[in-house]
Amino acid sequence: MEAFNLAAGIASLLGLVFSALAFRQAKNASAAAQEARNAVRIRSLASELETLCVRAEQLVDFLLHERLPEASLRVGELGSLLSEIPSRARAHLVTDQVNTLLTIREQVSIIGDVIQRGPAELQNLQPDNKVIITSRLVATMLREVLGAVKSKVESEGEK
Amino acid sequence: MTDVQADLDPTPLVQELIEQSKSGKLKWAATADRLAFVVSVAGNTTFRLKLVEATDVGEFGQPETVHIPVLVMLDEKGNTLWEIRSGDVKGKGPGLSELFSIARRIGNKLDERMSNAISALRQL
Repeated sequence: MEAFNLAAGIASLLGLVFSALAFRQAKNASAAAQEARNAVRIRSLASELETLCVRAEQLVDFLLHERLPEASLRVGELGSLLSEIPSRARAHLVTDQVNTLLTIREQVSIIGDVIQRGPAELQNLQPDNKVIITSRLVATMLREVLGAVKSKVESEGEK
Repeated sequence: MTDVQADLDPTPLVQELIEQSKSGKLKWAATADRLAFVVSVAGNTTFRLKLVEATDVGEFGQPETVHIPVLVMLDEKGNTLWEIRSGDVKGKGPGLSELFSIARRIGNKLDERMSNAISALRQL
């Protein structure tokens, strides 16, 4: 009977050890899965920011060539994307980056207002026109945020 | 509990914006509108400061067009939360006009341009 009790005690202890190991493994697997999900989200954010940058650069180009209807379309697209991304990707951006995106959205909105106000202000658009300077600034600021996010993607990849 | 019967006083907000702008913590950005500057804080609030045209009565009683600063507070969705005009800011302290001057100085990078201009002039 004593031998049975001893064997049962050892078996319980072994069971406890295996349970602890299994729990640790499950926890590690869950952390790894979470990390993988985060990495995918950051990559998808980088891809969305890349789209934003392309749209912003197209806006500069359309303005330089006085193609105002297309420029207006780009303003609308940028406005929609800039409304969506900061709130959705908040977890992967630092507050300064969210602030930059919100500031850019407002700048894009004002570019839209100027385009809407009428062609008088936009006739003979020169590269030093305020609308073009601001559009370029918007494209540069977006590239800066994209650069920071891409660097995060790369550092995640190295892990 | 919020006392909604009392008017919401924007003076502390304007003073804080002036202080933080002066200390260089608020990076006002220029916009396509020469008379408007924007800045975002806390990842959820944007301020748009602009000069708008208004009609005033001149020295001799004649109507006169003047530019007055208006501060617009927007939420993260771009909705206007609060529009503050010069007259809403109470007290004798600095008001929206001073805030606009500072925002314009930061947004147009006047300090940087001035030192560049001085360097260029010295090399003439």
